[in-house]
Amino acid sequence: MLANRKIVHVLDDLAMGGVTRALKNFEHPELAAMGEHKTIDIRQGRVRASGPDDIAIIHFTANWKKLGWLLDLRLRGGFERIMLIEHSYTQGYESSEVLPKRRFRQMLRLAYRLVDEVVAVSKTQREWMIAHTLAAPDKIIAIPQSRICTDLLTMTPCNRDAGPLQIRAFGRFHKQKGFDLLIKAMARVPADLATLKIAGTGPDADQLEALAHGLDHVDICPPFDSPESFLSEADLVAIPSRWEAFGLVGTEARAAGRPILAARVDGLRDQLDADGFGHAPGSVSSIVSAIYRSVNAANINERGRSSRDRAAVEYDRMISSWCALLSRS
Amino acid sequence: MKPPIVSVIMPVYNTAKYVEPAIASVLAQTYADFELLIIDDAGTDESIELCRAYDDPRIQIISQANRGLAGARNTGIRNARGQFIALLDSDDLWEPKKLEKHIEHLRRAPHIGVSYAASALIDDNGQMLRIVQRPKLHNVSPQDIFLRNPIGNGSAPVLRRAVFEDIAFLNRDRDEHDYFDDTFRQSEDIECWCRIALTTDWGFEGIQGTYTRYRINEGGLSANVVKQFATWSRVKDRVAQLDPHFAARWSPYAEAFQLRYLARRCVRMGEGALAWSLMKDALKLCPRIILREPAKTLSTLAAASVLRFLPSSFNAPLQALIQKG
Repeated sequence: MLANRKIVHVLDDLAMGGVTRALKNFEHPELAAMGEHKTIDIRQGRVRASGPDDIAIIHFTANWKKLGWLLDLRLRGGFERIMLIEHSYTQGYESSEVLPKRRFRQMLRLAYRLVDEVVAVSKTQREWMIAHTLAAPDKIIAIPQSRICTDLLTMTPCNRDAGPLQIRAFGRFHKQKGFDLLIKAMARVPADLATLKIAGTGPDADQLEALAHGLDHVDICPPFDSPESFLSEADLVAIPSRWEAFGLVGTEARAAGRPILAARVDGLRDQLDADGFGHAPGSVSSIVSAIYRSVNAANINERGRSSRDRAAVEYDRMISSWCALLSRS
Repeated sequence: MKPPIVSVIMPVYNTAKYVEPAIASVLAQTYADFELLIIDDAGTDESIELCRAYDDPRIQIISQANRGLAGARNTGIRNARGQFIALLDSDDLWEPKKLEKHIEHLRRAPHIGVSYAASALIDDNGQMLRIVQRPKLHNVSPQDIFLRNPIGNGSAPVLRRAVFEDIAFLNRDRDEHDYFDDTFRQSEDIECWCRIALTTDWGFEGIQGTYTRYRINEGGLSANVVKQFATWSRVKDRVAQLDPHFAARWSPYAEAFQLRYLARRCVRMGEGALAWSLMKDALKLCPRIILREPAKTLSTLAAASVLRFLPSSFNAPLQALIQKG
């Protein structure tokens, strides 16, 4: 490593959950040893390298207005390399939220052209970038997101008994997470087959409450402090997101030894594998049939265990991928 | 409404992981005058729900009770409105110019009924394996079909609908016409191609270029190899019924090649003993395959014997040697 190298994390919104968590990953000793990590908010002024070996890692979400910042960084920043982590944009985001797709992709192509490497946070996201030629394939590196789950990895794995299937879901109450679809699906599943508890808070809380009104087998709970207690009775964690760059909820659920029931979209595709129960994104009826499949599955516990086995190695894999990428010259 | 020129037939059965790229590769075709008939063969995963998410008017989904690949293709062909039929398995992909090139070929060559091309192999994650199936393209005789199946896989050929009409047979149980024989659950392709080659005047021809990405899942069990040989033997019997003289002349070659093909699969699975015994059978049955294709036959023999008789540290270079087809 280069003793005086600075690794500058450039962002514009410290509050965004995915970004804050990603920054935490760089505190891992191996990554911390790659250089001196600094965080800079681009709104506070021009970002400049302090030495010729400095690396800039961009965490903010590109848009037309920010292309100017990127151009400035490229031309006058003085960095040895500029990387961009794509925390936000995916196939699912595009199909759910973007109307002028051609213009949107053009913006991304320009943004990606201004950096040396684009880091996709899931393999599926990388494939989407390649399919729409957003950047040259050798410039896009997929480093599937992960996080440390020490506590979750040691909690008692799921133990499905004869009663209703215990489904849990958690996250921000926002359109992206698709909890509205999940509650609508539950309305079509008899209470003796499955029970759902959703924990969280957010702008759509009232809407979700209204949807769950009158459903005895759907409970909306406040956010929890420790996922361990919320998941202790869970047989399955549902992630019905409309889009999800990676979806660390899936990592947490799997680390807790619970299989996931998730939309086959973006980063959740990476996580479904043979153990998860997939459904078509944005489709209530597809969620219903996935719930029935999981209610009837005799091997929920086994699927939980092998989900955990996979989740257990992902964090180290992510760290070593980052080490390899940062030490590339 | 004017019928489309091409009917693309895609049976779907438990391929949620692959079906969306497959559909995307059809919708991305430069030749746009097609209908995509998705045959829902009553799988148990969310594949069909993923298919329903597309709102392209060219897509039509037909559901049926499970009948297997052959039965699903038959349903597709029966419902097809196009004059050309293109087959695509729901875990494979096409290159964007696939339909354009094959339709151009079939229009240029009126005696050709089956147009095909080379296929690139991809793995479970869609990565290219740097292996391309490059079959014989021109002057294809019935024995070429029977011995080497140049069409290669079920996502490679584009056919005239008239070809299927010429080989249609009545299924008495359901009182409708079948094209592929749905009593086969494997080798249904080669059985159908042999029937076309031996009972019609339609020609087979390949075009230059690689337009299919064919996914191989080598998650193999040696038991499957044995089963595959049993199914293939039924094809051999069928050929003998259709043309006894042809069968007498070519069956030993075809069977030896089939044994050699299975031996290569066993080598890839690390099954040295089975590979060796299959190669012994192949050479006993038809030693002339050494003269007909010396390099491939001898390399398979060498690989099988290394795997059979030498310690496992020799395996890696061997796998590299045997990778191709």
